Amino acid sequence: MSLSLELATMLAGAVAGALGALLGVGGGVLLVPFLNLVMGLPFASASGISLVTIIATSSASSAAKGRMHLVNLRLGMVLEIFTTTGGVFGFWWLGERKNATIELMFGWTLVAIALIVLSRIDKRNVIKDESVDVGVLGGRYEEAESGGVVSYRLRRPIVAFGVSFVAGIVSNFGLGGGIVKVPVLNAWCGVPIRTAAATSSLMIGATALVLTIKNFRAGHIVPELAAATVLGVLMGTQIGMYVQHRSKAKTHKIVMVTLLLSVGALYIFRIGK
Amino acid sequence: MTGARDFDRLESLLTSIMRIGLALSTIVLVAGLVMALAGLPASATVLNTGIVLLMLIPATRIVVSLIDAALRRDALLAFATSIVILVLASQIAQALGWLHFK
Repeated sequence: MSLSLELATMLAGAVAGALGALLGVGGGVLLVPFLNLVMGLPFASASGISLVTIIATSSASSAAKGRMHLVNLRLGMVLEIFTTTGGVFGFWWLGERKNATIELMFGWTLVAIALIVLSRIDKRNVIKDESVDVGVLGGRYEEAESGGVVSYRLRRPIVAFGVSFVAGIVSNFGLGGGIVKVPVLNAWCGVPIRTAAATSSLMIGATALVLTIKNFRAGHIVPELAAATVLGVLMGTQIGMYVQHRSKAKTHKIVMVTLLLSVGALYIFRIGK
Repeated sequence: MTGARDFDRLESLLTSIMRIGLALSTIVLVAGLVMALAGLPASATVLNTGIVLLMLIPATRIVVSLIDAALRRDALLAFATSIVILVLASQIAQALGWLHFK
């Protein structure tokens, strides 16, 4: 592999990582199409490399100062049962499909994610009373802005388990699945948005690990490209998180939906050619 | 004594695991890429080592979670972690050719 190719891959990883962190969708939605459509890698390799970068970004975001305190470790591990088995099931199930079918499903997944973003119900699910019983899977955390302790219970656990299984299947497309889990955990299961996001980004490391073991075995991972992409994504994520603090959430949403719909359409209509 | 609801020790352990793991794997991946550019044949091994180091981050996190949960008598976390370890172990066994399902 030449220096220019290595640098181009790293740059693409950086752009995907930055936009992913900025828009809160993860880098995969941009990285997979780039590696697949621009670099010409087979879809399985593109998603396989994207999953390696997800292990890195999951670790990097969880290692940030104070981040682990937002994570609900019990809830995360319980849901990991479902994301990892969903991942394994998806790997087997998608392995039986044709490549064109998988790409078409990837396109529709992106459209579905765009719709989730558009319809996002943004209400808070917190109990302000500290003495409340949070149950075995609920939790509390101290919130810096309001200075109070936020408590929450897990509601509709079946929904949380189900969406985690689905997110695990979706991870096979090289996506972390956070964009699927976080809105559902927040809107339907009563988990505060910051806890849902922090817990989800820790969890996807385990899902990505299980799938990377399978992809490694299947020969889907090109080590040089994976290394260049990981380093790029790690740099990009830092930039994205920095910019995020200084720009508007509404603008993010519009950019995100536009991107998801465009890339989704590319995959859906490319199949017909 | 730390109780079943006290995650402070585990939280700081996990943060350290992730920081050390990221630092190590990044160094090895950079070294591997430089070696690949220089055309050294050993680069493939180094790059694969870097990727395996990266994979060891979540793997170590899960194993450490189980130990901490057991020490704190946190039955729920210990149970959930054990299942995740079983899923992981079955996939490793299959990848190494010890298990065959289809």
